[in-house]
Order: sequence, then C-alpha cells, then structure tokens
Amino acid sequence: MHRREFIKKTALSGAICLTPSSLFSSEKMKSTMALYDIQWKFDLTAHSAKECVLWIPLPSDISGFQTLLQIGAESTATKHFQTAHNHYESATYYCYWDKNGTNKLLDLSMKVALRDRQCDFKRTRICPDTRQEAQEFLAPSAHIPTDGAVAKISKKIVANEKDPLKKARKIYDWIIVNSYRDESVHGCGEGSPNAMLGQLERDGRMGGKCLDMSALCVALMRASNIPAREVLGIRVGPSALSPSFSAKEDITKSQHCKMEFFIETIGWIPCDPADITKLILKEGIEKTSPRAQELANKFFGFWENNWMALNHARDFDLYPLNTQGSLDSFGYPYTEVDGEYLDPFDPSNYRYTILSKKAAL
Amino acid sequence: MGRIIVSVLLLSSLVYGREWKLHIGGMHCIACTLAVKKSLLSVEGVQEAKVNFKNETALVNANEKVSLKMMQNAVAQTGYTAY
Repeated sequence: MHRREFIKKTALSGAICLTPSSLFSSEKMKSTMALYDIQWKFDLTAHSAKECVLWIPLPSDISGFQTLLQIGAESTATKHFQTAHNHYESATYYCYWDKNGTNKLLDLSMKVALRDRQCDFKRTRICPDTRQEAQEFLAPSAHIPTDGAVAKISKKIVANEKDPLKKARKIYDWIIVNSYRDESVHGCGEGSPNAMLGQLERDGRMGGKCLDMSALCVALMRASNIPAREVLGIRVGPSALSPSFSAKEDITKSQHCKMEFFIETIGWIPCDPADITKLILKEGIEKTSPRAQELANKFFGFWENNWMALNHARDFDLYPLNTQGSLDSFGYPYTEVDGEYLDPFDPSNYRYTILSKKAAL
Repeated sequence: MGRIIVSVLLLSSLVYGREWKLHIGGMHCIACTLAVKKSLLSVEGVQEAKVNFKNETALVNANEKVSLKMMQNAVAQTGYTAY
C-alpha cells in the first residue's frame, strides 16, 4: 500500500469574522435566513496512472442573499488552491494530480449563509460603476446570440412596449407559456437559445431544462436591450414553496440554473422561469391554474434561500487554462484526465458526491 | 511456410495499428467530445480515441482494418463530420 500524503489546507474567507446575527441584523432578515454546511468529495483514484485536473465552481458572495462564511480543503493533490482569476471572477477551486499519485482524493467543506432574495421593485440609487458593469451583459457570446431568430422573436414579444421592466416581464411570461420541462434532457441542458427557437419553429413549443430556459430568457432580454445573465447554482435544502424545488442531503444531482436581469433604477432582479415549468410538470397542474400563476408572479423578482448561487460565467476560459478550450457554462465540476474531458454524469469513472446539511443559526 | 508468413503478416496488422488525426466539425461545446469519442470507439478495430474541442481534432489509434470512411460514417451518425 502506498503511503498517502495528505496536504491539508484551510482557508477562511474574510467573512468568517461576521457572525450570522451580525450579517443579517433585522428580524425580517433573520426569519428568511438559512445556514448550510456543504461537503464535496471527489475520488479520481480510478485514473491513478494518469494526470488529473479538476476545477470546481464555488459559491460567490451576493450582497443581501448569499455569503460564503468558511471554506476548507483536504487533498492528496500535487497542488490545489482557490482562485477567481478568470473573465467573470468566478470563484473556482483548482486541483492537480500528476501521474504518480495512486489515491486521488479531494474533500472540500464550506459553510454558506443564504436568505430569501425578494425584489421590492422600488426605485433606488444605483451607482455608476454597477450600471457600467451591467452593460457587459448586453453583449452576445458564442452560446448567447442576440441577432437572427433571437432578435426577431424578442422584437415580436415586446412589440411597442418601452418600459424595460414591462419588457422583461413580457419575455418571462412568453418563456413560461411556450416552453415545457423535458426530463430526458441531460443535466441542466445545453443552454442554446437557437436550439430552443428551432424547436419552437418545428414543433410549436420548446422542451428543455433550466439552463435552456434561462439562456433563452437572457438572450431575448439582451436582444431587447436589457442586461441579463444566467446564474448557475445548486439546490441545497428543502423549499417552503414546493417539494419540486427541494433538495435532500445528497445534492450531487441538484444543480439548477436561475437568471437575473438589470433595470437601471432598481438594480439586478432575480428571476426563475424554468422552475415554473418544473412545478407544472411535477405537480401536474395547468399553466393557467391559480397556483402556477401565483408562483410565476412570485418568481419574477425572487430566489428562495434553499438554492446556492455559483457563478454567471458563460463561454469563458478557466484558470489555470484547461486543454479542451473555453467552457460554455460552469455549473458542474470540470475534469480533464490526460487532457480529455471526463463526463461528470458517468459515475463509473467519475466518483463525486456533494452533501448538504442545514446548520443551526 | 507460406501459411506462416501470411499468419505473421495478419497478426502484425493487428498489433501494429495506425494513428489517425481527424478534423472534427460541428462540435459546439466540450461535452460534444464525449459523443464523438463514443462514436469512434464503436468502430470495430478502433483501440483509442482522444478528442479535443479546442483544436477540433481526434487522435485515433486503430488497426489497419479501419478505414477513414468507417470512422466518418460513425461520426456522421452522431451529427458531426470527420475528415
């Protein structure tokens, strides 16, 4: 048996000095707050004679919604570290094993504070930097076109509407009316607006999962001059609204993509059209039912505190650079073995689990 | 003696394979490399296939019974092109 050398690291984010009570001081905030202990376990020992590299998307801080309180790592890796050195400053944990290591293990543990994110739609002062930063999310990318079919449909949906918030609502409602959740789709979906619109033209409706619907919503909003972005994340606990939005302790397959859009007088507004299509499928209700309507209204401006945001990166380069090139999204751990992409959905050659436990406040 | 020579030649064609470098068209994300790899490995005689999204290439190790046409057909069935 080879001797295992464990490299231990414990990194505490700057926020660790803040207690939950000082983070969320008002009673209202406390009532919607939840603390979670999340543990990621990776075992790449099946690839013992090969070079393995792993990039893990980490939660990032979102003012008033999410704070990464603590993170610690234990690994047999040759080197491993936390970085946000990429175009979107997406927090990433990087892990590298050379060909020599026999046991290739990584344990990541973190504590995250979440609270319901409810937009009140009141006018507020948005600083010029934030407004300028938001403009970046008007631009097209390899997977988010804003011309062709996207531009045509976007124009049709918003018609003569000039108010950006009303335009955003029209696009959100249009996605819910014209799409359905397709359980046969792999993972969170491809996130290709053109593929979705191609389906609509062919079949009269669009099937997909959360990344597909969020990406389409983002593309249509950008084409209508509203900054918007997908937010990849993971469900971490039970929902107060529906079992359809809940996760149990094993959250390995609980990835979920939401989105947000920017209005100059309000700021970033959380949104989730995909979960309405999931609700309709799982609860067997009609889109026009009072329950679906009520939650559709709620999810235009709301994220629940049982979901942890990871990043809004799309079509970007990892750091350190990988062999295969730009990633289209980063909601799942990304692994290369001897330079080849490892399928995160194939548990026979890729063993990893993510566990979540609600912690006491 | 002739039979022995033929057998040795046949055996050598199995043992000493050929390495191909194919250009793969139509991949739009890294996950596409999995489908291309699977299609290439489904060709009888292909021993190894390494697909790279960035370079749009596949490095294939195969025995001499494998032709370009066989690999092109397999890749085409998954919606990509190889040449």
